[in-house]
Amino acid sequence: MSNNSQISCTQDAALRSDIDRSLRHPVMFFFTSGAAWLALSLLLGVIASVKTHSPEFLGEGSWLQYGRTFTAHLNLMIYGWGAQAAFGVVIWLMARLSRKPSKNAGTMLVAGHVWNLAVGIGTLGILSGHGSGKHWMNFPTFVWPVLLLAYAAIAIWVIVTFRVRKSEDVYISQWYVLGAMLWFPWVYLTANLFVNVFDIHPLMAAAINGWFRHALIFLFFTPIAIASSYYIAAKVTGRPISNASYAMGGFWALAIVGPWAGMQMLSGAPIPDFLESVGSAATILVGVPLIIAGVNILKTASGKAETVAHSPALRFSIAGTFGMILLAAAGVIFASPKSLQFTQFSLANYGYDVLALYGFFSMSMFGAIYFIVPRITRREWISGGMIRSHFWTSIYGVLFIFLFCTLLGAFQQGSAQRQYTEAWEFVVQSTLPYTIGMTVAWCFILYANIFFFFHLALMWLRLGRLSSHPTLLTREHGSNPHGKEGNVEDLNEAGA
Amino acid sequence: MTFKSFLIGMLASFGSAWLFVIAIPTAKMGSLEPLKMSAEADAEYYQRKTSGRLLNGSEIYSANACYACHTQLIRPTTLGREIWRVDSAGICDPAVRLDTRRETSPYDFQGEAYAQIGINRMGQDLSNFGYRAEVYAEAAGMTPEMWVLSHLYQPRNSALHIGDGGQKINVSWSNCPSQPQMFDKTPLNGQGSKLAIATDLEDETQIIPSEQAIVLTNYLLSLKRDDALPEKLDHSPKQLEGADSN
Repeated sequence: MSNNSQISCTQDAALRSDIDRSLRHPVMFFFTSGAAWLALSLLLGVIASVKTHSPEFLGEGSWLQYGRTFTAHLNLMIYGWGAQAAFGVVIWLMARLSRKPSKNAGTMLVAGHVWNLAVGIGTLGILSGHGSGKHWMNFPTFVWPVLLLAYAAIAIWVIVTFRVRKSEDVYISQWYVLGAMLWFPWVYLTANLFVNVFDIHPLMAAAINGWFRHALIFLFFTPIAIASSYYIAAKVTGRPISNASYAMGGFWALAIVGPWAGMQMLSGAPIPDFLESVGSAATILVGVPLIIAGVNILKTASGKAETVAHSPALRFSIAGTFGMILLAAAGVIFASPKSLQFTQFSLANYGYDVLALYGFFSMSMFGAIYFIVPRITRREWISGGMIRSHFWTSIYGVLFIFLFCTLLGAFQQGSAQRQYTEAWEFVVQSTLPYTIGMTVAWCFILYANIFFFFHLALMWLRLGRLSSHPTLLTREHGSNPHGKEGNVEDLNEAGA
Repeated sequence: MTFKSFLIGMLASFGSAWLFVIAIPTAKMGSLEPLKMSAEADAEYYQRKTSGRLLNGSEIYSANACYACHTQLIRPTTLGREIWRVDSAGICDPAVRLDTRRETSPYDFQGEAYAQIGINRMGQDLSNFGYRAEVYAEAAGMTPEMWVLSHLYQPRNSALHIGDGGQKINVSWSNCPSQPQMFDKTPLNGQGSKLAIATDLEDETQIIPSEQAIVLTNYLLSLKRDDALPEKLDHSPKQLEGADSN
């Protein structure tokens, strides 16, 4: 190796280290508080799920009443966990890819506290009976402007980091992150203004709510998960992205199709027919960009089965990518007018949300977190076993919810609803096995994430392993590809 | 690709969808023309008649997320069959040649800020719950208001569901949450409140509905979305030959 390239390697490592250090506090804050909200959301999800088959569980008091726990569970998963995991990933990813340490960690940290405070107040609002009653927008209405302002204080620095980037090259992940940063305020502001502020036709308000839910999935959670998985697949395997033109084409396909989806939720309602048809068509067609990105990520990692199995970051990201491909298939199945006859008012809507938010987005975010946290804390994950159990209980749980409870359950529920001469008890009894199944699956996922939260909290406290070896998901310690075990701090001193 | 061309692409792709899916349909739905009941020159204009404190009641319905299990939408028969479920889409009584069943119309949510279409039918559609409550109440020998209040307090109370032969119908399978927070336990004074749903003479207490429960009950009883529509909007199935539409 020449002297110049050695200097450039050292400078590069120093720059990466500067970036990691500059963002350590906001990123860890977003991840850890997000994971805490996720654990609470899942606990509420389990309670709500039990109440669907045993309504007297934990008494029938007001705070834990089904409607409130169910909506608090979903809103916490979206704003408490999802958005915060996304913030942590995008600020770090954008700084790393733009090769620019952050100078605004303090502002982002303050914004993060405001965001958490608003989420906490919003959740208390829902549980105390002051929810807005608009799905995915259930926080009391005074909360949304606060969330939007906190978001602006975070997103603006992501865009500024991109604008002052050092490198000329722009990676596909940066375009996806930028897209998400710009789509979110437009989608969120539109939905809240039209639904909560403007005096519009009540049916259009409901239609815009359906659109909002899909726009948030396709134009915020999806691009961030794709950005993260592209980055991790390329970084961990040490390969360039399989096909750069497809990657860019996939982005624009998502940009063109995504904003039309969602109003099929009101199929059969007296709104213009065009809205229902275009909503169905777009939700089906969005499968194209999802599959383009999915195949591209899988091809980038193809032939590296061992790396996928051993690297926690890559394993979760690839699982998230399969989740994305399954989401594309779910769109085709559930958004077609033929299926809507059965599934429009069934477990399908919840199952689709769970697949998008957990099976796809959260799995990708876990991948990113397992990658980023050791770099910014300079400590390795404490236990490979904990990561493995997080992975498998998540996979079993989410697949059971989607394949059994949603695919099978929704059609059986819908078909029972169509038997109009039967008493309603028949519909409830037909749905019962699937609601019980959902409870079991949520227990698995809750178990996984309570340990994930503690694992992450210990990392935040810098109690991770002081090792030069990353924590891999392999049981054979003798054959570690990174050579002899050592203390990372000693190595640094030796290097210095 | 430059940042500028990226922004133009984003603006064009999102902006066009925003315009055609959000802005224009909202403007069009916000300015629905008044409709005449028929094509005749001297026909009356259609006016949806509603009563009760709809807005407050629908807010309580929303805050407790009743929409998580109940819908308020009667779809065309190409999509759903709820129009044929008894007392779901209106009244169908061949004995008096009456059939008011119909799909949901754009005027049905008048007086509400948000149409609670719903996301799941764990419970029945509530578009015409007002009629069902009246039928159940008559069978149980109660006023509709008392019946709904008692149902909100305990939906699994089989005494509220009386069959044709006077027997109780088992509803212990229901997974509808009860709403005890909408009721208060108060001392029993004199003859007690006429809205008391339970009285304990030993303790000298009674369970009476709060303002919330009464407002929600009024809203639920107002759910009768089967009034006769102008000819232009009327797609209701007319199975009974010569049946009146209302």
